[in-house]
Amino acid sequence: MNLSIYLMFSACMFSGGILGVLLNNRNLILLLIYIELILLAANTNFIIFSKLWNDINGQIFVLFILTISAAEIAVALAIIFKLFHTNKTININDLSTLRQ
Amino acid sequence: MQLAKNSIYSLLSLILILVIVAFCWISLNAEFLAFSLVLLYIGAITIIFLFAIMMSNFYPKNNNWRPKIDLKCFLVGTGFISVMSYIIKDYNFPVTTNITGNNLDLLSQALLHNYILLFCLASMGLLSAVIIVVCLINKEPKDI
Repeated sequence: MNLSIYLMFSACMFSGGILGVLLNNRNLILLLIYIELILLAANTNFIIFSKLWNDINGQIFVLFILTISAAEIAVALAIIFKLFHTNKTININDLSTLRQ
Repeated sequence: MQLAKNSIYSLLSLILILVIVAFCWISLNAEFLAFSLVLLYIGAITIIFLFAIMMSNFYPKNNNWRPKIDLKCFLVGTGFISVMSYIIKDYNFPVTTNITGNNLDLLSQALLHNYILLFCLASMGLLSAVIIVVCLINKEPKDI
């Protein structure tokens, strides 16, 4: 079977995630969603090459990425929660200075 | 660039992509990882996102909302994808080996035999993340 179509799918997800991160002018939470999309594209790449070379180590790394990204999302959302309580906004353009 | 009316619509699109990618991983012989993707990402992380959006997002009452796409971002995106697909498209990635054993057996043998130290470190990382989240959210009790 040819794995090129899976690689193109992963490339589309990755580029969509990068464009979303760069062109996002609405929300901090939407930023986290686009970062999740980027990580998902990297995970899919790992699984594709793990199947190509019949090596389980790619899937082990995917397991660790899933774990650590879950922890990172939890901590990032806790920080956004505190930010919202002090600033009452999560718009990126309004939060451009460190102190109000 | 705004493609969805709300943050909730974007989150539902993320859930759809996660389901599609889970089916993709099943076809790549990674069924345990596809199941863990559905369980962990869709079942836990998107629920956390939903709670965060519920608690902190204002719903602007915009009845005349239309999707806005910049021409520049559309061109950059299609250019990026076309360059990558030109590189990848005609290259033959043949898979000739057969996989013996199911995904859970192979993963567990490698994880608990070769990567046991990383497994323990990852679990300690998760524990520290839980403690950090609890310490961040915890409010100081007010003095009476």
